[in-house]
Amino acid sequence: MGTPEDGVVESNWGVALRALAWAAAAAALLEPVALPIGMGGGLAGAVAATCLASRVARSPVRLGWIWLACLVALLLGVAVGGWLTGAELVARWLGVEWAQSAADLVRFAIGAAAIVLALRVTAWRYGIAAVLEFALIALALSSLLAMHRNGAINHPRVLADWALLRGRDPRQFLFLAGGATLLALALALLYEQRGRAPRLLLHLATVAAMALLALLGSWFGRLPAPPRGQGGLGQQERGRGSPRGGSGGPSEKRSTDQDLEFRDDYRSPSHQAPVAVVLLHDDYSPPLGYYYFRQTAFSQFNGRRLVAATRDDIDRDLVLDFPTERVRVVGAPPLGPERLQVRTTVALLADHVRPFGLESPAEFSPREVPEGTGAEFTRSYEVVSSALAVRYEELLGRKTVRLGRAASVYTEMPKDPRYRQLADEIIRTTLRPEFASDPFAQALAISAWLGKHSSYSMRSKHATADDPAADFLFGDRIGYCVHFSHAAAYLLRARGLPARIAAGYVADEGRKGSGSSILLRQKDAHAWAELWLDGFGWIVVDVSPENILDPPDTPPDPDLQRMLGEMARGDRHGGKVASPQDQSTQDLARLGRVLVRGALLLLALALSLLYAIKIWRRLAPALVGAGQIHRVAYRSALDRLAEVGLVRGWGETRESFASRMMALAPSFDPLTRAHVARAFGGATLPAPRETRHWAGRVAREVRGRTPWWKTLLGWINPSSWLMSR
Amino acid sequence: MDLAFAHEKVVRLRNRLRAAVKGRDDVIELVLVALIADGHVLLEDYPGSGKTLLAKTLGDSIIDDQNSDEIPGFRRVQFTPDLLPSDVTGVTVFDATTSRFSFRRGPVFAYVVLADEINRTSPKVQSALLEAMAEKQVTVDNSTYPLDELFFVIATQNPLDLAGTYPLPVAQLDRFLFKIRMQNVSREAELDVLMTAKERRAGVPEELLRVARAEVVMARRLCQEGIFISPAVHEALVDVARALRADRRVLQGASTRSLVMALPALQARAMIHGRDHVAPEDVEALLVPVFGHRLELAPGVDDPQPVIRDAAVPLLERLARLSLRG
Repeated sequence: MGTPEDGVVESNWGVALRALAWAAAAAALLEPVALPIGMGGGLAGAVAATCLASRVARSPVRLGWIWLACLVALLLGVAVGGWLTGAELVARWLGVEWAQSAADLVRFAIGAAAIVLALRVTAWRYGIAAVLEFALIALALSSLLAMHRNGAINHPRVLADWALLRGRDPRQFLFLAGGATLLALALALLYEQRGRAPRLLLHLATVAAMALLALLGSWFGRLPAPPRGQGGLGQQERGRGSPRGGSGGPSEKRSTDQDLEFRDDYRSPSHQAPVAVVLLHDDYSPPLGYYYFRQTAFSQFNGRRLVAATRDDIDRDLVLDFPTERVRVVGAPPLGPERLQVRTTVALLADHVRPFGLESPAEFSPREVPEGTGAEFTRSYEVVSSALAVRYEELLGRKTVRLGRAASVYTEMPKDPRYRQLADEIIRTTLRPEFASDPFAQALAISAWLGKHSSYSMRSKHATADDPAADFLFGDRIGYCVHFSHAAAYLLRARGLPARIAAGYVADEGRKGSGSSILLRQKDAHAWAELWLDGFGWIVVDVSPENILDPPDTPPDPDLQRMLGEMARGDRHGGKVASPQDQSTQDLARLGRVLVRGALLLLALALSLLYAIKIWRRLAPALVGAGQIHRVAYRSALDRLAEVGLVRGWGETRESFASRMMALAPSFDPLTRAHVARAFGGATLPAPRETRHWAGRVAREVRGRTPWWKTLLGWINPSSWLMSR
Repeated sequence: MDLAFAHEKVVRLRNRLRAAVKGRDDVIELVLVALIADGHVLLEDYPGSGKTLLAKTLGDSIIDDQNSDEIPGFRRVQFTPDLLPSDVTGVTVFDATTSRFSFRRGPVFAYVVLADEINRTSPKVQSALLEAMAEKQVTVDNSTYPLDELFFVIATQNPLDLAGTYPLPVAQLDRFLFKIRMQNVSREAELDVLMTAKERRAGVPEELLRVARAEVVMARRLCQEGIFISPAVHEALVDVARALRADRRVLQGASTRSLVMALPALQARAMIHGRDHVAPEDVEALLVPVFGHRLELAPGVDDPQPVIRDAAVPLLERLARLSLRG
């Protein structure tokens, strides 16, 4: 930034640009943590400090003292903020809300001002420290962009989610914001190099024009879609396997071996990414307070864990392919007083291998993917489920029946006697003797015991054990749903009860939005144990651990959920009724589009005109006759110099400019002399051939003595010739 | 005989002067421009800065080809308060042997006259010299004696130490083509002066040829006839003068006569640089020496240089832009 030697007062453009950059950085950093008033305070502090910095920097105060003062101010601001929130007196005067706002204001205004002032003054005194300043600004702005990487739409929707809410593709705005950030930083850097405002403005306009043109290209040329996550448990590893199509035949059952793999760290950066929207068409309240969406089930023991059954005759209630016509699920439990018909619509936002439906799905039928909305649904289908509608107490006393040949599959388990011992122990200690042989009572006891004696965490360390489930169950009992479901299933099987693991999504009933839509995110993927009860089919036996080690979940944004729900219904306007006012807004939008297109077209025209003139001026020396050659050749040499940023000063004579360029382009001097001689009536002029020769040499000299990137930039810049004077 | 001839003569003079006086190339050039433009020079400088050497070398470099021993190449007049006009111009004396009055020529009868510390003498002596400069003639006792055609005055004055001096009024300063304010020489040049002191004591090397008086006079004529001045340059000169008159910092601007005098100076400079036309750089280089001493500045304004620069920049810009139009 400004060097101390130049001694000139910083231009207003520089201050304004820098203040803008700092304000943007402060906004980006404070947005997630500060109240609106606090954010305003932070912005004001940053701007004020930028304006004040040059004055402070020119004062004789030593840098150490300035830093110390800034540090003291920072601590003071934090202390005063803390006092404002803590003091009862303040809260009584202002009310709690205003006290909090005031604290934020003081804290962030002083904090931002102190940090910006310290950095700015340092950068003013020692040019190299500007790097720090830039790094901080760039970090702040890019953190904002990083929140949206992969096109994720989730709660802190600061940059582009609003676009989605209005039914626009948010990627365009992300692109715009990213481009603008890049541009601003590049410009700021450019500004640091030379502090001439008028020339800078021209550069600015040119670069902005180029950026707009690039945007135009992306608009019409379509951006590549951002990589999207796949839905379902363990989705990260999948994707390349799973041949699509084909039906029936045990060998063609999907290889889902990896689906329920034990992993030590189950966290994923894209956990918040939405994967599907489910619309409930019937009023249904699940008995456990959770909606379970079953996608697949794992019944067969492979010696280490439960995997998807390879046999054709078990788990027949699973549907392997997306429906192309109405499909009845073979093994679905029948409707009746215990099971109600619930119709749902599922719209997928991410690729899935197979469909899922509200437990237990009975019928799948295809549906057209809603088009023309901002959200990009990959697939949509309708599900009719026979959903369990009885309270869990009524399930007591039900028997598990033999499931024919398949029954043995549902009770296979590791040959570890501890499972049986633990299961017996649980039943013995927690159940009254009259319930000890009741299947459902046993299941409840086991899941209650597991919930009480284990902890939930996405991070665990059982994956490398021979029997991860045993390592979990007889070890520290810290794990996530895969561990819980395996433990529950094994304990049930140890008691001789047919059990399996089902996987899919789970969502809290409370999340059902006003539009009866449920937004499923990647982190809603879940696995749970199921118990077979005669007459009811598979019953969810989920463990809800009391002790959760991970930070609590944030529910999806209700607005986003409702809006995606309306889009899934096929409503372009995200559920808003088109009113006359909307009509006029649409007209305005159309007008705006026309204007934007017109402006872009004009811009493109202007750019091509600029390029045409530039090329003409460059080629002209080879084309004109002897009468014009001296002027034209000189002009082309001037253009070459202007391309690399060397232009004659205001009021500088051509001759002194030439002598200034002597080191860079010695051949420019004779060219200048010939040109001046021709313009001011000299009688003896060099031959045209010679003049052309000099012009060519100037071009070579300039190219040979400037770095390649500068030459390239000069080539690209369509307005460089406007600067040659 | 053409411009190349004239150029060659001036270059000879320049080489001799450069050999004798180190680090003063800008002053040498202006002095030569004034010589060719038939003007006179006022050097404002400190004692011991090479003025006398410059003037003496210039006088020595011109070969007297008139075969009359009356007029020497170089004369120096030290102006003091008690100097009389006749000490400058000459005096009529009675010759007892012939019983007739005869005119004894004063020091102004020379090719190059160094008028040292011109502001130390009384106004009447100053005006005697200035009349000689303007008219190229001397009138003593009602008889008029013409001076040589190549009469060139280098006057000096000390910018400090003004006690007991008679500063020249602007109207008188107008007679000088240039007032050259000399800057301190650079470190390298000063070092060069010391290093070459021994060689230079022997005088200018013989291989640097001298120039005949008639050749200088011829060069003057060739220059005024052969160097083209573009109408754009005329316009620029007039506009600079008008801009100067309009400037608030200027009480009285440059006279029209000064513009007329500037033309041969521009031509001379173009010729020294080997051109057959006056270029904007000539205008830029000569504006301050030509106009600097002709402006009456408002109270509180000391330096004419920024004033002239401000007036000239837009016109220089216009000249530069004009050249690019087809």
